[in-house]
Amino acid sequence: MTAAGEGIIRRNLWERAIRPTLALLALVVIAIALYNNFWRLGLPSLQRIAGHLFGLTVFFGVGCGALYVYRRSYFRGAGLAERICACLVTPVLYTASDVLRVREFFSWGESLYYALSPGFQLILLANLGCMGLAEMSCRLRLRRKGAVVRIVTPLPLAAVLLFLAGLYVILIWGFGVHWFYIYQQGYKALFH
Amino acid sequence: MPEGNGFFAEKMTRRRALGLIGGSMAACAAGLRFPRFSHASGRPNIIFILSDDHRWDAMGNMGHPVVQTPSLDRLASQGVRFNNAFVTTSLCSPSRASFLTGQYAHTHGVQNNLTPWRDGNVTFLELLKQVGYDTAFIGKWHMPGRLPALRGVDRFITFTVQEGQGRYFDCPLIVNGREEPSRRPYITEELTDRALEFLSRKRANPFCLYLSHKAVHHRFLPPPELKNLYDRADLHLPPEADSWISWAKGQVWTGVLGPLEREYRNYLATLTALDRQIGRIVEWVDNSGRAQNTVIVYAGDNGYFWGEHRFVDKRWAYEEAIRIPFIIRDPDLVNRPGLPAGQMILNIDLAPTLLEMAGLPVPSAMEGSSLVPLLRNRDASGRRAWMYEYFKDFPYNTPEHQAVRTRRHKFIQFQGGRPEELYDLVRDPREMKNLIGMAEGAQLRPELAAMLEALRRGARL
Repeated sequence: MTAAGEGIIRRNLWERAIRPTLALLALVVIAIALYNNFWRLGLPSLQRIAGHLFGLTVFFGVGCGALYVYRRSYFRGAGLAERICACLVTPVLYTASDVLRVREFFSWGESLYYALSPGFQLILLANLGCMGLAEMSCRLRLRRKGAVVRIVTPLPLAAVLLFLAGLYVILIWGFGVHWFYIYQQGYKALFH
Repeated sequence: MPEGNGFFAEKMTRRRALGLIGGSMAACAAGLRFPRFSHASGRPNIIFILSDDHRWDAMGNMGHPVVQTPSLDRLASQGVRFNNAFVTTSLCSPSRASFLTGQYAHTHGVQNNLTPWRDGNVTFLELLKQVGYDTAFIGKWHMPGRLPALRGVDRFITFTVQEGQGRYFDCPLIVNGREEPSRRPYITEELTDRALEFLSRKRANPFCLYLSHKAVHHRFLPPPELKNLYDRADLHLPPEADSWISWAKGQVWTGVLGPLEREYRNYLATLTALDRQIGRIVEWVDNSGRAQNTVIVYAGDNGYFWGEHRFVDKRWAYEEAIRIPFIIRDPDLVNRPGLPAGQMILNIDLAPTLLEMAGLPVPSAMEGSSLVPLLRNRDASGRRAWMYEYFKDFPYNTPEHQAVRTRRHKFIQFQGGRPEELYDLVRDPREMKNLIGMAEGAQLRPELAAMLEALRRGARL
């Protein structure tokens, strides 16, 4: 995967990686705060709408935020490592904040194991898949502008396939129950 | 001679009579209560029906605006519905073990869905078997560890798939240790068929059936004919709820992944399906001529949040999670049938109640109290306070906590950094206003904290 292509001007680090990362992070943080606290305003007629709006923003922001960050950083000249790091900031911070939250009632070891749970696995894999999709969509755009570039190459394709495989194992196989029990077996082996 | 009473069916010889008198005197000397039948006709037949995650107010007879439960309504109108029935731990495995043993989770040892059942635990089925009952355990066992050879149970039909949770459709059964396919596609119907087979057997002894349903646990799957039953109903969800609440704050573990409204409609339809099958059992009892001497008890293993406190699932010490439906129909014993009872009762009261009904002494290891006095004297005051306990159950996001619930207040202490909570349940039944940090809370806290501490000390927690 490369960002080097026609029509791409390499911007400074703030512009090419930090700014899109912070934009997504800010959106997710605000959406989480509003999602969790809107009901306190006592507006029952708006509660359902607010739930949809903010809840789905959090869901897609954390799970698919890479679609936005990757493309922005790609066309601002960020390298592959920068793009991947930028995409991972929001899901990793989301996971870390949840680990700190459960640290209130789980031990450190349990809390770290919690970070490996199916939900966070899926978030990570979803972002990986989104990076693969974003890479290919960026190449498509470059090609439309006249660049000679292959759209589908093994790495982004593998990222998408890995996500689909993870989606099946984690969420679709037995409606998530089987993988969850495997995860719980791991917990029993480690902590019981 | 009443059918099903092995004791009176035996021929009485002088030797046996002397033996019985001697045994009774020894029992009195040992401090056991003298066996006394609560029923005029001797030991009653017992049917205990346990459901999963059925919250206390989801019944037509409780005024629920949507769900139809004519069979449970009928039981309530012919017996007594306890409006203040609770579980001592709001979680499937611990609560089920409490129903069976009459003990708290800290005593029977099944503290969460990971700690195994102890073979030394004594169930009421085992004690009833010792005095000649025909016994059956049919349905959800769902306790951690290997499936036990359950003492005192003639017929043990359960399932082990999905860690003992079972499946709504085509769930393979374990019948006395051997796997058998389900004969009916829908689990609630299959278990009811199996129960009716047990009930219909010719017998000389009284029977005790423990019928433990998978319904209405997640994934809330009703049979096809009821799938769309409540699609157009106005659900009256709490104001703090929204469609995606089960994705927030670690609640994804509950498995409730669809929009809340859709899951709730399915829950209610699954409950109506369960009610229909309960109706088959009640019909059988009434049509078999055994109604007068058959006790039917219906209960849920814990409550369930549907958006209250922005929760889905159970576990927390709030009312929605700890209150359960609890109905006893006993034509021989219940005074003023149809009149609901307001006394606080617990899941650990079931075992002592059934033992007293069968004329058995209640072992001192049981921590619950028999409800027979309350059934006879409906104006009796009942318990003043009791302790709730919840143990850590990784990865579910509920801290370990204990609470004391009195008739008016609830005081909760959590492990870790979560602050204490105190509620006035009369003025604030939805527990939205924590009195800790307020003048009223400061006044109430010392007594409630001391009460909880005393209960904890008694439990050696």
